[in-house]
Amino acid sequence: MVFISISFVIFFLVFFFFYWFVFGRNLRSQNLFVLAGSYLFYAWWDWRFLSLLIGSSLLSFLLGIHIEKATNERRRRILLYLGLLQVLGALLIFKYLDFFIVSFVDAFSIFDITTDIRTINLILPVGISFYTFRIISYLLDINSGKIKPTADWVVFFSYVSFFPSLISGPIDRAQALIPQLEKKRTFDYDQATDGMRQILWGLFKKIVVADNCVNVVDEIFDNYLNVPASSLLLGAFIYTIQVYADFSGYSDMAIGFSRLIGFNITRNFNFPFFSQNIAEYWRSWHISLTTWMTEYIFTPLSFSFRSYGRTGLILAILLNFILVGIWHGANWTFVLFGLLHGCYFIPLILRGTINTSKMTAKSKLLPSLVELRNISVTFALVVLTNIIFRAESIFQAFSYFSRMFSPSLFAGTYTYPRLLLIIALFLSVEWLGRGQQYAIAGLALSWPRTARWAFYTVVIMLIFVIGGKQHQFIYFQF
Amino acid sequence: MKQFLKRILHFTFLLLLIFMVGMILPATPRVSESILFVKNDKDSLLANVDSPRIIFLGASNLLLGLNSQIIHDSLRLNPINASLFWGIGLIYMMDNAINYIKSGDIVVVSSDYSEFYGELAYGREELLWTVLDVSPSSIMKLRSEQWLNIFRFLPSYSFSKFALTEWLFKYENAIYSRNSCNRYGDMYTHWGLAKPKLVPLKKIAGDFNSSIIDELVKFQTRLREKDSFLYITFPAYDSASFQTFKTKILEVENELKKKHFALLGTPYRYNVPDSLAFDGAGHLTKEGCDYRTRLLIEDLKVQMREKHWVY
Amino acid sequence: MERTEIAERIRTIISLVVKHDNFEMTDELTANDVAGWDSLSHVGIIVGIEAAFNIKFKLKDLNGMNTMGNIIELIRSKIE
Repeated sequence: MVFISISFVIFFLVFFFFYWFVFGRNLRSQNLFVLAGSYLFYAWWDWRFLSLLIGSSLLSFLLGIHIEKATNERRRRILLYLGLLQVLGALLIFKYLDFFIVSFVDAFSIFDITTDIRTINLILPVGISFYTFRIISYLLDINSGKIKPTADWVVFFSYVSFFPSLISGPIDRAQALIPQLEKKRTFDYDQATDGMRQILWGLFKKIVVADNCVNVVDEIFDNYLNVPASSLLLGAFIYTIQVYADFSGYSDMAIGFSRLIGFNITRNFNFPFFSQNIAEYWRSWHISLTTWMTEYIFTPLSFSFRSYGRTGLILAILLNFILVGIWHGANWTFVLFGLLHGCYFIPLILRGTINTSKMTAKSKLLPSLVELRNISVTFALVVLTNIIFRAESIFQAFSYFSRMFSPSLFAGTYTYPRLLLIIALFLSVEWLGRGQQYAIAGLALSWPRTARWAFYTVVIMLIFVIGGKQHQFIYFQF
Repeated sequence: MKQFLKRILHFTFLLLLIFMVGMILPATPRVSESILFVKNDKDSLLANVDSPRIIFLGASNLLLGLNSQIIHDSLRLNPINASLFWGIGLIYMMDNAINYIKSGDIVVVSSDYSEFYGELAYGREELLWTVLDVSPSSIMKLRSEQWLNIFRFLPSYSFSKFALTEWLFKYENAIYSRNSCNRYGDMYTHWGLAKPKLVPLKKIAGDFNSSIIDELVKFQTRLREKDSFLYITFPAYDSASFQTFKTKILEVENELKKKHFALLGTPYRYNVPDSLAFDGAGHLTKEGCDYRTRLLIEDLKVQMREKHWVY
Repeated sequence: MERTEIAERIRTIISLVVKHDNFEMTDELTANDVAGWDSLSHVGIIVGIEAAFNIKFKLKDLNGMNTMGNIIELIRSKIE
């Protein structure tokens, strides 16, 4: 069930009712119900892979306990590798096998060697990129002593398959979510209303902003050989807004639904387009993924390369971001995407400039000229790389670029005024709300109830009236 | 929790209230000027035009793809272009037209290929607007499949009435408006205009829906009971749209042949050069309309000769 | 070596890397409390500490380096 579907609304209404009024008596029944709900949710998407999810959860649960109990280092390591292998192995096979096969065949064909290997065409299990990372972080944290394994299988299985964030994240760490599962949740009015408000904003982003962008972006990208360069640039810009609205909107809904059932899951976005450099951008974009990568990939890598000074650091960053790229999908475009983003860090590393986490234009309405310049440069880099992210092949990406950097860049083109107006209004609201968890979070504090309800009503009406046609969330294919 | 539920209830009630008000508000000026309102004009054509008649039913491929004057002059029949906008759905058009059929009528159906796939033939938002704003009396005649398709547009219908833009601005759309049709029901305001960019068809959603074929069979039976005859013909697609959906197009033709309908021409015959296409799949320029009409007349004459119809 | 001396040396190293010294060297100090102490500068700080105390950290030591108190203890255990 997609969040925006009648079946999910019904599912969640029923779930909410039973969760608080029937199964809320004690912790065990509450958790069992969360687990049951999560598996029902997953099975609705694709019941065939439910057994894979349960199997991985079971194996990882048992291994987690034994890793902690292991008396010698060698045994510990073997168990850890076993755990990582089973879960990474599944991910690699389902997601990347055909990519490896095709690349292998292509590489040989360059030398005129034909190979008779065919792709397997496995279907990608829904959510595998997300729950795999949850399990990996759990096992690694146990191994490093950061956390103790949980003895309660219901808690662990719920952690892995927690339905609000199972399909498209955020990727919660065990240290954040398991303690919440180990305590009985009690209903909190402020938490619940804040959750609903965040869901509303997520819906707005998804239906009004992202879904309206999709048609325009598709039109431009599908037709990129025939439109002027100014359209291509506009298309890249609108696509960047689309991905942000789509993915952050979905994350907002995931967080909102979690709050309605008493859980505070991790934030995923922090107004990335107002970042002044690429490091700040990646601290604000898909936060749960980048913090995961930083902790489990970048930090160990940079530590291992530390004797090579700045070169080692650069190498670590490049590898880290290539992996970030590949995580998104089995295509060389994602590899290039990641590599480029890694390269963007090189000036920062060489200059040794350390970014202060000062909020852009803190307590001021407008950014300074310097800040505006920084924001624009960072945003431009992101927009350009997103062309590669969306392209179906590296060839298409380069073709798009070469057509874009041509004289017709200054040609007049259709500007989609209605869409640009929606985007402008959207970005203004985001700008005004940039210090908060999500753009309209502060409404609870500053506005009287009549004004708030009027605002919600208008947003809901806008969602129905100017919402675009429904499209699949981009991040579902991961 | 009690307070939370109470507040939710109050807010929902507020929304419902606004929804009901929106439902009751009359059709906005913008909608009143839209092409949806030609339905009433076409219904009076169907009611009042004298026999012998030839009635065209279908979507925009007939709205923007026919020159009925040529039909009138060539076949000496009274043409009625009763076609309506795409999202209204073939089923509604057939259910509506059957009430006006007189003995001796010839009915030519040219449905867009996409209506044979998925649930499109049962209508979309445009159908909802039609039954609520244009022709409220037809609400009771809607089938359950049609309601299933359109009920989710009720909130956007109701809430759109609160948009100031609907009341303050009159959208003078040069091509698609209430006054776009000539006395036969052809859309003609675009005949004098320059060709805009052609946007080929991108998507035909859903699987082949054989119930649409069954509905056509039922329609044919009802026509026969009224001593009328049914022909089925094909939209005039541009080359890009045709190529993209060739498999589906030929599947439709195949299924129609299986039921032994009287077919006018073939999809290939009506695959026109792009110079005759206007702004979308099935939409034609004046030259295109004339060309397609002449093809239709040829095909009609062949069929009529076979059935010894005097024309 | 005394704790305070260790702490002082660490302070100097951190200041050099983050280019400021707006922080208090308490045992509870974490990277989040120091502006500019992020994953990019973390390695620089570690390298500086290794050089200053002539020690070598192992990868699993990293996990224990979440507060200043733990860092100081770790360094002490390596010096002795």
